[in-house]
Amino acid sequence: MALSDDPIIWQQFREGDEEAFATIYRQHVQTLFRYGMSLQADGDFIQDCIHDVFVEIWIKRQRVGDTDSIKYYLIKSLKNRIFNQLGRQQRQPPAGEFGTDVAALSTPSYEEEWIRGEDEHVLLERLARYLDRLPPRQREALQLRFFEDLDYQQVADILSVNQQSAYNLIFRALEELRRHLLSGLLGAFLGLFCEIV
Amino acid sequence: MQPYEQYSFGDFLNDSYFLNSTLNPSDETERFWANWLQQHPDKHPLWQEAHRAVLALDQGQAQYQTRHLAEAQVNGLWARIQQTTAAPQPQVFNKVYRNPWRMPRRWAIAASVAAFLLLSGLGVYYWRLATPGLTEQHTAYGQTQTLQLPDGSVVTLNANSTLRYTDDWQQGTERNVSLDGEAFFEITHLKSNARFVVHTGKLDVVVLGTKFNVNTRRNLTRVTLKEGKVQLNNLSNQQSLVMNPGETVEWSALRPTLAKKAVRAERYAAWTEKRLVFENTPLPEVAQMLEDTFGLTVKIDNPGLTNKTLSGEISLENEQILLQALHDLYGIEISRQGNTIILR
Repeated sequence: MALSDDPIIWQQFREGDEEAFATIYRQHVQTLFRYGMSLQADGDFIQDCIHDVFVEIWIKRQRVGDTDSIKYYLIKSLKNRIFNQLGRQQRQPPAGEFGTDVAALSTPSYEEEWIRGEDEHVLLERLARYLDRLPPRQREALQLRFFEDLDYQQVADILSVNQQSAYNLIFRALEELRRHLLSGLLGAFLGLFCEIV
Repeated sequence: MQPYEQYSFGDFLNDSYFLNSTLNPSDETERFWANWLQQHPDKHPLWQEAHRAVLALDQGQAQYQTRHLAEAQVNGLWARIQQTTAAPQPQVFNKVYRNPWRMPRRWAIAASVAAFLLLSGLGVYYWRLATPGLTEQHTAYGQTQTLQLPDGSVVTLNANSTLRYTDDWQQGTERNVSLDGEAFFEITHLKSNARFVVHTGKLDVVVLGTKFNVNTRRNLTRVTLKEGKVQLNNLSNQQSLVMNPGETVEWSALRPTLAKKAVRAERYAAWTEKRLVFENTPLPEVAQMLEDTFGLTVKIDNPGLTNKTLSGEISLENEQILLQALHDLYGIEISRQGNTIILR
């Protein structure tokens, strides 16, 4: 779950303790920044949104609820803020994980480089960069689960889906990653095999 | 749990033993997988893909974490937030006038005095219950601090680190602190055998009396034991592990299973003596240390340097001396613009 002293700090913050507020800011600002940047790569805009989130929770501190995980609470608030600012037209459809953006995946041919037998290290680096090109919701789910260490239920809440869908999203993201590890036919065959299993 | 031969690709990536043995292989894990692969040769391609995917995720996490705000930006943003919250927020009080239930003035005064007494009584009572005196120590960039805990134990906090604990340590009860950053602990053994616990997110370090270093920077928790014995409790999978002197154990969300590695423990505690010890340490790791300790932004502007490793010892007295030493000892060209350091 969260840092074990989260409930204490959160309680102090709700009682108006400015030091607790500063601690919360210091502990989470980098996490919020890199998460925000993964949704919208505009540093100034993300800083503005982080500003708004902290101002809002301070003003509403007596009305905010309990939380076991401040990180989860802040990530969720930041996401709401970002999408409110970006406006309706850009908001992701809530059930987006079913219609993943296949076009976004037909990026440079890692398979060809693979066949050319490139240095393993170089290939891994390219794959890591490939994570950035996953369909946005898959990438977001993967980041929250593996990089930010939230549990499946928290990931599901942030993505506004149920826990099973969050699990599926991550599973599919891993499958996409895997597809790029394999060359042509063999990959397709194993992919099919896995769908059946 | 199902046997590995029935695992899908996704199952492998959610299996902590598999994750850990890929990122932190040991003789034991190598033997286990070699043996398993021999028995299930048909699973070799699937296993290998999963293996590569874990390595790619590991690199992905490293790259993901390179997006961050410089210290000056963090401070600037905080100043802006404070400015906004300090401005008056008048809208809260304006609505009272429209209240149709307005009372005669005398009654209003009497009621508010009664309410004040009642609320302040409750407030004091609640405050006593809720805050058992939390102490927080925070060090700035470039600063270390040594402090003594209520039980006589000594903690040295490295730069940009926070230690929190409640003051009400009673005889014979468990002593709890939580750490964000890096610290070296010298724990006093009490006659009551009361445990001492360092909480770091999902990893608890449980001690009787001993000297050890804990580093929780960059989503990675690393515990290095110098003397005595500690037990690690992994809250994410209920795993427990006892450490011996000279061992280090790492934990991160990506490698949640704990595994030991033998190290020279002095190297991990050298910062307490204002020294830095490198042992084939990759330059990017040195750059991260500079960022964590001094709040600098360090860029490596020469691809050849990312593979360079450093060995030796230099003083950590201040960043200027350290940068000078990096230049003199390792021939690295260093230029500086404000808080950004460029290594060439």
